[in-house]
Amino acid sequence: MKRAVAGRVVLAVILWVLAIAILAPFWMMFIGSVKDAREAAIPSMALPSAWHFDNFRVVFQRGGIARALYNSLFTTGISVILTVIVSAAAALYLARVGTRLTKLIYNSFSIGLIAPLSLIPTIKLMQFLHINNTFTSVILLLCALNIPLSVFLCTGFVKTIPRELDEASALDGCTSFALLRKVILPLMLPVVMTAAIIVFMGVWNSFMIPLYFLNNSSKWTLPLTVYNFFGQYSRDWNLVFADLVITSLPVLLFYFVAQRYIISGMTAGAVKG
Amino acid sequence: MSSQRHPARLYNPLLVAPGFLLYLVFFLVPVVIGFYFAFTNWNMYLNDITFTGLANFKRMFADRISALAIKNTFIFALVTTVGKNVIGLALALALNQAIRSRNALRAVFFAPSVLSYIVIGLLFSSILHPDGLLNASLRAAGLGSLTRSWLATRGLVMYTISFVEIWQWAGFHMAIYLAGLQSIPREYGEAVLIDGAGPIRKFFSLTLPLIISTFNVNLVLSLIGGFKVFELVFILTNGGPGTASEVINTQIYRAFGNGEWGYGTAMNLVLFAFITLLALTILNVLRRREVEL
Repeated sequence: MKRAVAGRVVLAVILWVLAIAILAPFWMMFIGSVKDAREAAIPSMALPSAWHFDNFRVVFQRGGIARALYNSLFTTGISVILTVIVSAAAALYLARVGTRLTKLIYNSFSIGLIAPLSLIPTIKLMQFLHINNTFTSVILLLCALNIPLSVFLCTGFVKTIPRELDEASALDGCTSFALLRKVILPLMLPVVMTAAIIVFMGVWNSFMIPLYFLNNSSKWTLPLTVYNFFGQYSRDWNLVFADLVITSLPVLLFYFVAQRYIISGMTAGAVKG
Repeated sequence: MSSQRHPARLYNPLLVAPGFLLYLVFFLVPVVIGFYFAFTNWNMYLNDITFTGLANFKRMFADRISALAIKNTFIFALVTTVGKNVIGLALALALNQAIRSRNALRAVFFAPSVLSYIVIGLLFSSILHPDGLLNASLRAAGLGSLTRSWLATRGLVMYTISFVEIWQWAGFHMAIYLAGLQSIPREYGEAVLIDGAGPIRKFFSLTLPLIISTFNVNLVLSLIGGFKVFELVFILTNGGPGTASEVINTQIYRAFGNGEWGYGTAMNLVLFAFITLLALTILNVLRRREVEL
């Protein structure tokens, strides 16, 4: 038994050494963001000799952060809400109605789980619909890309809700939409939150879609403005680090608070999908 | 009357319509249109689109750069799949032990997967710079002979980018493996220990067969992710040095920028074919093995 305990202590030490390999880049980013340009250019894990919190003010002014933050919040917020609502509604139908058509629709969603989107034809489609280079196109596309996984998660969950509830509410004169809103959605809350977390992470961090679909800098989301900022200030690592801190802080805080839910949410897609 | 026999009355098809239409119009339709445009000379300079058969595909495999991009995409998918799964599974096995700080460790290892590629990419372009943190640490440890221009050496660059991808996602795969491991009843392990099996035999004859479906999920997810690589390459090297780290998705981006839409769509179709064929093959082969077990 003593040997087993000693073994576990050694294992814990090894794991914490590996954890340093994960934490070191984060540490470098945080301390680098409050150094001056000369100090930030030298690779070091040491604390700054003088703290330059004004780096954040500079980045906010020159990096167009306020605008980008608004753009990110707007696209992410609408995409999450829209994806989750249409997926939950679709799941109710797909879980309850077992016709050949519903099976075909359900199976067609699995292509979207695996395959990459067809970029150039999608852009041409957006141009054809006169919504290219608008938030609308990015939101609709991000929804389309996230709906398959959300539908799979939600459908699996609706199947565990007894049908009798639907029938009882039908006798009460509920329409499909009232059934969804009053009975099914409240019960689905756990899986809806899981889907929302997955969509939020994917959309907030998305880089490729806004890069292709938003070429007007006033519409750029945070990841794109950071990339652009790096292009202009690649010598001022202190400012670049400050910009990275601003971009990742909302997600890291969210992760710090709701770590348990985020890990189980993000892996639920894999485990159940 | 039971509503089960009249599902249409209780469940309005308008429930499924918005979600499916969004997916149909903005994902499936462009994919299907792409199947056609991949066989045309569609580009920004011509008004007429002509069917050109396999011309785009012949060009793709004859062209040195796009052939290299295809090869690099395979290298990246393979290296990252092995790395993410070996490290992810090892971490999960370690954290499945009764270690007091395991929740904190799990949170640390998972943390990089909540961040955007732009954050990871720029952090590592600083770390991997010839005068960056990695080389400085190697020198400080007396391993100066190991220092490299990690992102500027032709034979090395794809492996360096793969390393960054593994660094970011190993913890994500660890979490999936951990969920699989925790679903194994504890008594199983105890029975094997009484039988006198060592830890390695225990892993191969007990643990691995029991988490084979988790293993399949991780394998498919990491392969798909590997083939779709774009952001890390775009941010870390933009295909360089020269064209040494071009991948399929960066080539599509360039074809789009050059107005070679048919050619770019053909490359997109090749990517689509690789991913779909691989995922379906693996899922089928492995699912058959799952049943046998």
